[in-house]
Amino acid sequence: MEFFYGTARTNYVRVKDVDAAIKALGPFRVEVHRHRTEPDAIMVSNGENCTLRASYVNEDKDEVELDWAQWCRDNLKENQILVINEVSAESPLYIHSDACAYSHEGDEVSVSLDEALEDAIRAKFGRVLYASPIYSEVI
Amino acid sequence: MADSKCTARTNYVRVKDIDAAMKSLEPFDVDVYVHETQKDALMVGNEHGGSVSLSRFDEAGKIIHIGWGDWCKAHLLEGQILVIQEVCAEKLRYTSGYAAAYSQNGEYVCVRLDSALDSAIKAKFGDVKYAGPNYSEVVV
Repeated sequence: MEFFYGTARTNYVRVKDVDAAIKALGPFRVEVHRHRTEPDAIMVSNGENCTLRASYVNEDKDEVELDWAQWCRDNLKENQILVINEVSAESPLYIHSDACAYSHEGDEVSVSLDEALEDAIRAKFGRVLYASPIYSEVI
Repeated sequence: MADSKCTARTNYVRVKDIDAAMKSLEPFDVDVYVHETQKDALMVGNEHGGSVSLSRFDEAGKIIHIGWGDWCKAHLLEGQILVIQEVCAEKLRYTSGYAAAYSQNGEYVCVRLDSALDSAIKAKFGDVKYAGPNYSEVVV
């Protein structure tokens, strides 16, 4: 029957100051994991959320979103790339999967599974119509 | 903590003979849904978590695979494209996404989330090294 889950995690990245990097994530209720053998490397997972697009409401009642580009600019060591993978599903209705990457300068690229497949379908089959594998669409 | 979850489903596709298409899927550990209003359309999922790959064990315990390409050639109406999406997560260890599409001629394409991101990273940042978002890899 229908159930929903979402899981997100980053890769392990080396940061300039582990304590400062962890402190910057503190309000967002994500989980931070230190690498077992590399003391300057951390990984972030979704914790209480279903996503790493986390936010919190501050004392002024404003929603503050986790700005990963800024976090990378502030914390990543040079040449490190932060990767975030997210998957979520509400069986049997809905499946979603996307990923993004940030450089230490805060530049970003992102992909989603459905868009990547659409590009592959267009390249292989041309501009065909097809039903999305979400909900009940029929072509 | 290891806590693996997988979910897979297809899109709804229109088939030539709904009864024959459903019967052909009976031996496999998948769930088949007929569309509420389009009675020639079905979707395949796996409510128990896992894959919609068409494999089963025969009476002798031998695994039998039936490719979706053959199934599409036998059952899809012309112009239909079957799409399969699968996601898995083993919390804190790995996440994965896989998708494939089959034409009624049995031709297919497939993509993986990590491969798609790798191509995007190479296009944007050049030939950089980075740790995969699975397990405990770290890049110097």
